[in-house]
Amino acid sequence: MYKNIDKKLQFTDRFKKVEEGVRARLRPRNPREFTLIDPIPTEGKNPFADVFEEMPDAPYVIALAHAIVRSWLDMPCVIYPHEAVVGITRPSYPIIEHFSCGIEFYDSGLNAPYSFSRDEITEAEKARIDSLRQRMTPLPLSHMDNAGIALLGAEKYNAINATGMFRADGYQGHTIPNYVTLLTNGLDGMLKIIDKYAAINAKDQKTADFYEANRIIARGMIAHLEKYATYAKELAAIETDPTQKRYYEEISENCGFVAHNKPKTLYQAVQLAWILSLWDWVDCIGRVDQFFLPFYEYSKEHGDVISVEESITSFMFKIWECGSHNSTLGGCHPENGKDASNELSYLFLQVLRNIHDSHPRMVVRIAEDTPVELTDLMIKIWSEGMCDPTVVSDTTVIPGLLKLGVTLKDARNYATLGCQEIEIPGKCNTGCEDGSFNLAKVLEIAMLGGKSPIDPTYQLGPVTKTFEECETFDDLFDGYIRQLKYFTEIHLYLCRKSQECKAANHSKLLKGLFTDGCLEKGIPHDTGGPIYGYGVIETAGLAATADSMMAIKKFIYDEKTLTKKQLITMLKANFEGFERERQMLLNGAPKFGNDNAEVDELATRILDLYWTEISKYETGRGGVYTGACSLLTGGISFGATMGAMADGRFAHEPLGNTMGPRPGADTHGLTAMLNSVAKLPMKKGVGGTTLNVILPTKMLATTELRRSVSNAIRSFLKNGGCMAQITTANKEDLIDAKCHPERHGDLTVRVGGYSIQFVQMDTISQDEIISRYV
Amino acid sequence: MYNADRCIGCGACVEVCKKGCHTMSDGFHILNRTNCISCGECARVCFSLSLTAEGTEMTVDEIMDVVIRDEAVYRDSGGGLTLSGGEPLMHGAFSVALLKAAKRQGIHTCVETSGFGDSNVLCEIASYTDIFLFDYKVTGNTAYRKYCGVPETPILHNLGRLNNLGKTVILRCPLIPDINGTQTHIEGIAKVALSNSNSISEIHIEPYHRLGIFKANQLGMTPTYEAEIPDKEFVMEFADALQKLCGDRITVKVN
Repeated sequence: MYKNIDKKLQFTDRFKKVEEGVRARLRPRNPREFTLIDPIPTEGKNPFADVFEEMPDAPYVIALAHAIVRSWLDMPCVIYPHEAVVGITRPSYPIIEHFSCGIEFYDSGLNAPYSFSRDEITEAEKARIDSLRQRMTPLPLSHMDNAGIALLGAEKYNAINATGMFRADGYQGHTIPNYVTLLTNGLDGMLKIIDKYAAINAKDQKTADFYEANRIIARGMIAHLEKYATYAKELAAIETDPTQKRYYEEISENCGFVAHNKPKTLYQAVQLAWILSLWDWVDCIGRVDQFFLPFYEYSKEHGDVISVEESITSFMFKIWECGSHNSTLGGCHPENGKDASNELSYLFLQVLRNIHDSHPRMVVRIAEDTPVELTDLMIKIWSEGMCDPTVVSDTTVIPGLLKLGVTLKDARNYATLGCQEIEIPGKCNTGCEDGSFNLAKVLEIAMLGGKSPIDPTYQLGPVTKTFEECETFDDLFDGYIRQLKYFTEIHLYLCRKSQECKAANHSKLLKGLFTDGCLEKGIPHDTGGPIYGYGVIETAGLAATADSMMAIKKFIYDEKTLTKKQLITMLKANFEGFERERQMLLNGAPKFGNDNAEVDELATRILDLYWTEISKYETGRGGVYTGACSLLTGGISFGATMGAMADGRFAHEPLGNTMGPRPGADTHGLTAMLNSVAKLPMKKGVGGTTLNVILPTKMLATTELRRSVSNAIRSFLKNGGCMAQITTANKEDLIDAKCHPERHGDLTVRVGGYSIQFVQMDTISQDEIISRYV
Repeated sequence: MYNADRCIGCGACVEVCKKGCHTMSDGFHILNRTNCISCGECARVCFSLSLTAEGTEMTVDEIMDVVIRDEAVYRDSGGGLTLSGGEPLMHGAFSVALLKAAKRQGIHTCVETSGFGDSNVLCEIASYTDIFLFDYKVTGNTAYRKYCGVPETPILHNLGRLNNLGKTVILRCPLIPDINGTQTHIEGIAKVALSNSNSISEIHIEPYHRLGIFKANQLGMTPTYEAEIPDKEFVMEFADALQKLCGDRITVKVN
């Protein structure tokens, strides 16, 4: 009933008001790039520091659990008018307990009374705070730096870091908790599970402490729900408006019930799930259309306090307001591999469509038997100017996961998280991501024969032939391989060390409670508790590297149009005075993304080489590394560290995002670009390999146009592609394309009965196209 | 083709041109095509793609090699290969060979034609073509001669041949208000469509757009016709009137 793309969902009057409220609260938050939202000022309080100071003798993990609970319970309850699902995010404080490396923090980020200028306080005070800091972060990130220095010497370690080649300190550590476990057991049930495994495993104090910490967390969540139940009851008592009074009563009863019991109805389920999501810092949620389905069906049949539509809307509004990362829809059933999309999948999409904002992020899994109606609805949403949902291919992802040793049933149950990385909900710690690596920087170093681009007298990597010494293209490529292997080893060693910090600091303590394997084994989340511990390394600069190598091969070695000396001079000058040659490098050699066999093969070789290399190393959690290419903004920061490149790219320009061609380099149309990307060895990189596709909204304006885009995307996903994220271009983008054609070679516009690359038109025609976007 | 917007003023074309078509003045490039022999040398050295030689000579096999890359998309979408302008009928042997090759691979084929050309060639092409996009531009021999340079009769004759063969034809009608936005033409289209109803169940109205002008400019040609874009209401009224005359069995669409 939600399949009809011509019929938009009508929110009930109650939820129209909730929607207004959310929009009003979100309005000042522009741009909405923030995923963490602080609705309540911290007022100088820091429950983390308070708890650690109050409990000087408690084991670290116990104090941490209490601190997490305190951080939630200390906060006043907030219930906005008309809403049904309740609970808001707490202040982030400077310390985010389960992101990064545990409760690592930095001097500047510590709130009063713990922040200070070192000159203003006494020695005794300094000592007290230093000891507190040490207790809160048993193994600070300097552990990684020290290990790096011990391995390489300070000079080389710092020199490598200065190039900005990689990041090894990991990112936020997204993982999806097991919502099914929580919803099928309830919080009282979770306590029983903890007791059950504690009785088997808690043979030493350390393990006993781990289980106790989990109990503290579960009881904390119970207390949080009870607090809301009480608060809603108090509000109901003084409320004069009979409708709002009823809402408060319903909330009070609902929160009170799921504080202990496992949910039966959808309203109960969404409230309980929301509390976990909150405590999980509104990280990724997984397959919402699957784990809510039994409750949805129950409530549909037996009725509920609020309608099923309202329950889902209420839940979605919460995610929307608090900026969740990702939830996943569609895809196959873990048991039989058949399409598992259902009415809820459509309902979620319809709510998303009405919200029409940059959040919540949603992903639709596409399998061969995914109904056309689902893709139709999804593309309709794109056509209305949204970038969500992203699509991901079951056909590509599942075999890739099997290669990593994931069971068939689990592989079929994958979901996406963070920047579209992939994992098995409730069973993984993929480190998401453990590190990120710039492939283009390695080319820069390889061309210098292993010397540093910052200080060309300093030998950074192994000595290989400099570009000038390379007689053949193969010489250069061999050098690239040697440099790549050398730096990969160092990078993954450092990643391992930063994983040790996370393990020692019990980062993601909360997630352990809801991740299969942790309680069963008595091993925390970052020490190898989860069933799957494979790691994810993000990659940037693939297209820039392949395009540059291609240009070098063609103009230096094959056609000898330029000498090596000339190219070196141009790159050093950042092409100043060499615009003609830059245009030749930019337009004269094939670029990745145009279905050109030669350059696509180079890209495939580079990526295959890198992903094969990282798969030889193990994470600290037990499991090998897999690749990902879904950095959205990483291409900008990595690009900023780069000099000019042989593909005609100026110094410091972005490297391009995700795994697609360099922005604007794909000039041969959508299917050629998709074909290029599908050639890459995606099954070796199941960390998540997004492709950004840019389409003007008018390209999606009619049913027929949408159908052809849908077909192109489905074919791509079926034939080796992994993920695609659609960005719809609007009028402003077209205007930008007019001024900067080199950035927008990929923009296709519809003219009449045919389409054309926008940048190929003259300004008058471009203006005419732009004028259609009124 | 020459796109002045992309020129970086490097002067490389001046050096290679044997006919003196390119000159530089104050750092700006000036193109004079009078002596141009279309040798393509200038385009070869123009890396900013300001000067481009359009078109590539390819064999049937070479074309099929490109076509086949998107095979998966065709399979899923029902799309395929379309021969469009120039005029496929002018290159009958090649068109037949290419369409035949596509059909051998099971690829759906489509031909866009002005309808003017050798009937026998058309019928041969028809054996390997799934859909024709067949132009019908104005009504009456006089008008056809005036605006298209050829009479209407052979075109209608060709259309009749396709109708007899039972081929699927989509009638494509450019709509230029000052020239063919008339009641006579509406009736003309309807008559043609209804009398070829064995083939035609769809008519596409293609409203005039100015996007060909830049191509003419880039080719150094003076556009032969320039007018305002027809307004939407006019186009819709035209389409509605046509739809009424054609009845339910034929669908009129506006592109």
